[in-house]
Amino acid sequence: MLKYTVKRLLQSLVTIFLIATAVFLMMRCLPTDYYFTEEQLMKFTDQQKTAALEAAGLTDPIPTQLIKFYNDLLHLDFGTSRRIQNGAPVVKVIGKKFGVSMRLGLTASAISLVLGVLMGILQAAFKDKVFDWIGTAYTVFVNAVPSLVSYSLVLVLGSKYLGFPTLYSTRNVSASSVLPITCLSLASIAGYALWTRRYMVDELTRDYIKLARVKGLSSREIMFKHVLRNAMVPMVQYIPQSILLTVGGSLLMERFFSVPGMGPLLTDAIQRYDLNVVQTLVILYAVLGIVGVFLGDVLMMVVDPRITLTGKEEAR
Amino acid sequence: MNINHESHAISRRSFLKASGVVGAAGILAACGGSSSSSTAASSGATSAPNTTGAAPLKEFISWEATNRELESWNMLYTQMASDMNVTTNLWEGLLSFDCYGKAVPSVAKEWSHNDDSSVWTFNLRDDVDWVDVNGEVKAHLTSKDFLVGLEWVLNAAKNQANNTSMPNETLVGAADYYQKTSDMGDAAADLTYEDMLAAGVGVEAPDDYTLVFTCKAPCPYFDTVAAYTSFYPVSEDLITELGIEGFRACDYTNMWYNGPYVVEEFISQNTKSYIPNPNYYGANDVSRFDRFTVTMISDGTVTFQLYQNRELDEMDVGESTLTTIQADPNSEYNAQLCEKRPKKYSYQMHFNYQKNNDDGTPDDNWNKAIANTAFRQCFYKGLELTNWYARTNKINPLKCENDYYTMPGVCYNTKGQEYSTLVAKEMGFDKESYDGKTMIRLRANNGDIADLKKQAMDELSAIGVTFPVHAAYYIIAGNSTALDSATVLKQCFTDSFGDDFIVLDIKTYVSSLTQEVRNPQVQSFVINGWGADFGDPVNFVGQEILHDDNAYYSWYYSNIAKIVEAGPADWQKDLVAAYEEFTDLVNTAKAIVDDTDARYAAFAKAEACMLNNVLACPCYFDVSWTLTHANEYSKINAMYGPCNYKAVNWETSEEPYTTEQYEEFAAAFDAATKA
Repeated sequence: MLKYTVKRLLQSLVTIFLIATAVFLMMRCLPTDYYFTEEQLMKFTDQQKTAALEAAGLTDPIPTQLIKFYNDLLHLDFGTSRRIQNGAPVVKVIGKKFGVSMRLGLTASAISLVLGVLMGILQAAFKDKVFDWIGTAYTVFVNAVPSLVSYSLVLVLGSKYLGFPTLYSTRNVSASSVLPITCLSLASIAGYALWTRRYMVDELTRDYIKLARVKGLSSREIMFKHVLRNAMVPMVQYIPQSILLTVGGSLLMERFFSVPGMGPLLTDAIQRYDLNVVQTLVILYAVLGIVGVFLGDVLMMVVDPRITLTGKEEAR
Repeated sequence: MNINHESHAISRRSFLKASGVVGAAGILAACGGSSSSSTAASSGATSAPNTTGAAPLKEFISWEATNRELESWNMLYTQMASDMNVTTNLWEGLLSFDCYGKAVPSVAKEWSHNDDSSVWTFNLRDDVDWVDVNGEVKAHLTSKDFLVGLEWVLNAAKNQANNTSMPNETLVGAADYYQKTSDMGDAAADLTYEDMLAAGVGVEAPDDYTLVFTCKAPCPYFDTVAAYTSFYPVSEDLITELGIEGFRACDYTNMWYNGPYVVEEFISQNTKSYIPNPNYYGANDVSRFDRFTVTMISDGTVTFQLYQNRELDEMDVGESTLTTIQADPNSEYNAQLCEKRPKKYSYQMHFNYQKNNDDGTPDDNWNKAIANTAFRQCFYKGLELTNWYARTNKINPLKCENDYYTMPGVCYNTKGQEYSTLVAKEMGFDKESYDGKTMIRLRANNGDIADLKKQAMDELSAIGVTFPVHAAYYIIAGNSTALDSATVLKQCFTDSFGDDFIVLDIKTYVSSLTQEVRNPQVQSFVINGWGADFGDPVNFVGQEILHDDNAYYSWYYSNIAKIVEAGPADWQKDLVAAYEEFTDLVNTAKAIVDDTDARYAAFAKAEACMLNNVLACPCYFDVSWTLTHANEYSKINAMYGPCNYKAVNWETSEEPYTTEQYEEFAAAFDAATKA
């Protein structure tokens, strides 16, 4: 396990290094006109533009800029935002939004996990019965209808008929979080239900289940002790990643409900040529993704001890 | 000449004479901010205007699009209108504006200039304090704070060249001082306002409450220049406290305020709310809300729901919402649709006279065609745009018609005549008015351009132009609204010109019009709105002239300056001659500095020359619809400066305003401005 961890850690560092370098270089490939607002393009003289680029270090040779970037990165200096929040440290800009997205995301994940798995179990247990049909219809509906439409439905039903606030508000966090969390959970519930049902139905056809029945185990015991446990194995490896990536927020949902979270931050930063914010976010997401995959592997091993991560029979 | 601000404003007597309607009193009250009302609406000693007898709102919730979130709290640093819409509530400069767009006292209580308008003196109030975010007094504001503010702006090491253009172009020594700081590099950060004064910049503070500016040349409109953020004050103590970097990046928690509000809460991409500044010097002069909240909204489909839930007190009604409301005759909102005033931008079709093909080679077919006077005149005299206007204003599309280059309301002559009416007279439109049926500029010949078209085709065919001429018009990719509008515009081209003459080709760019379209010069024309920086026609027409490095449109849109610099082709000589004539007329007008009426008349003549030659083609005004609890006509309505979003003296109503009430407000406003 230790050997595997060290190996993955080293691989992760290389991956993050490559990603950070690629993003850095790609952002430098953009024409420097993007550095300026339309107003600045209109009102700055060429000399002023050059001076501004020099002050930002953008006229230095790329290798020089890259070395400075690595040096700052080693010192965990992510710099300051230029456009998203002028002059504010990037860590502060992200930190403010991090908590909001995570809170909503974790709540939605927990709800989705519980409801989705429960729904999948019930669908599998009552396969081809009314509950299964309803569950399938829900899954098809959520996946077929564009998110914006389902969000609009939630918004109208929730605010008009149930009286929930339409937009997220820091003055009324609990009530104003209901509709965003509902929207975030809709697709996840369907996803968990779909895969739980599918894996459980698969497991139910296995020989060991027939043997269990022959041996006189109750249906409940079979479902929870054997079928669910085995069905969860392929699913659990994705759970840590999906939980960690809730930090990234949901671009669409957060825009729709004006949630001050991480979702739109990356696209906003790219659009505004806020280099430090873009670089930091990409590194953050890369780290979260890598840690999520690692934890998923570990969790899978915990759920099914037959799986090992090292040796000839390593699963991954 | 001393300028008493009362003479700028519409007087109560003249206003009542002119309007004679109930709404007139409303407008007066709205702008005056000191009239009595039956229901006190807001904090402070002053009641909010209330002309309809409605119960006013104590708190108001407005909105802003999330892509216009604030980037900088520093009024001196930012150049973004979206930032100034916020900071204008927190930070006051020398002058503000009333609901007619007239300059009114702010920190400066009065101002005057010498005979040739080259030296301007501002007398400041002596009761202005800086407060922190909690409203506690931090310092007293004196004229020195304006010197510190100007030095900050002009110092390249401090303000990084932002907002320098207006002082550099107007004040003695400002450009030299900026250049000096730019040459000094980081060392310039140690310079102070005393160094600026020693360097000979045209500003001085003879005492704590007097400020004197000396202009490079006579500048009869300098008071409107001084209203811009470049001339805002800042306390030296605050800069010392925060440091150079810290002040540049100041935020609402550590900045000092001298405006009507302080920030109560700011959540990026979600909300910002202001509460009254308890030590605001104007507390007895203007009404304020107990809380003013701006909610950030990304999706237009949400706004109607928010408004219905009263989570918003005003909303813009887009085409789809308007259609939804009108489709239901029983909808309560049908009677509440209110037409807004035009936004302060005059939109023009800026032709590109040096167009390139996508491969970078010159598009001579277009370049030859657009250099032909008759061809251009077809745009102005023949392009029927009613259907296109309906994309912005479905109910009254022709309210969007724009026949002039300069935005109406930018300036008035001493007889009270609005500048664009002078242009109308030059163009022969002065007897025409809005009838809701036909475009004014097409009435002379019912939009029949057969003769012009034939002339253009004959002249152009002779120099090898092939027809139809293709006009490349760029919109942002993936925006269905832009595509729908462009498609309607294309149909307008077909209907007006015929597909045998001019065909509109809709093309797309990914993210930057400047980078992807204007810089490679691949557009045939760009439709762009210009809002004034100050109150003089030169700010508009001056952008189109030749032989001037600051003529933005000539260099970066029409590219005519580059043609002149490189030497025009034979087929461009008439075009350049028209530009030269126009430039001469503008320069003649600019030279008139001692007679406002003569100056504006000369500018009107220049602008008429420009329009007759269709050097650029006026397009539209942005006149949209709203559902609202605020009387739009009571809000500050300046055509320049950062003050329009200052939430003072707003007339509001617990009940939504009706179409009828808004029509009365509009009639009263028009009567008052004409008076």
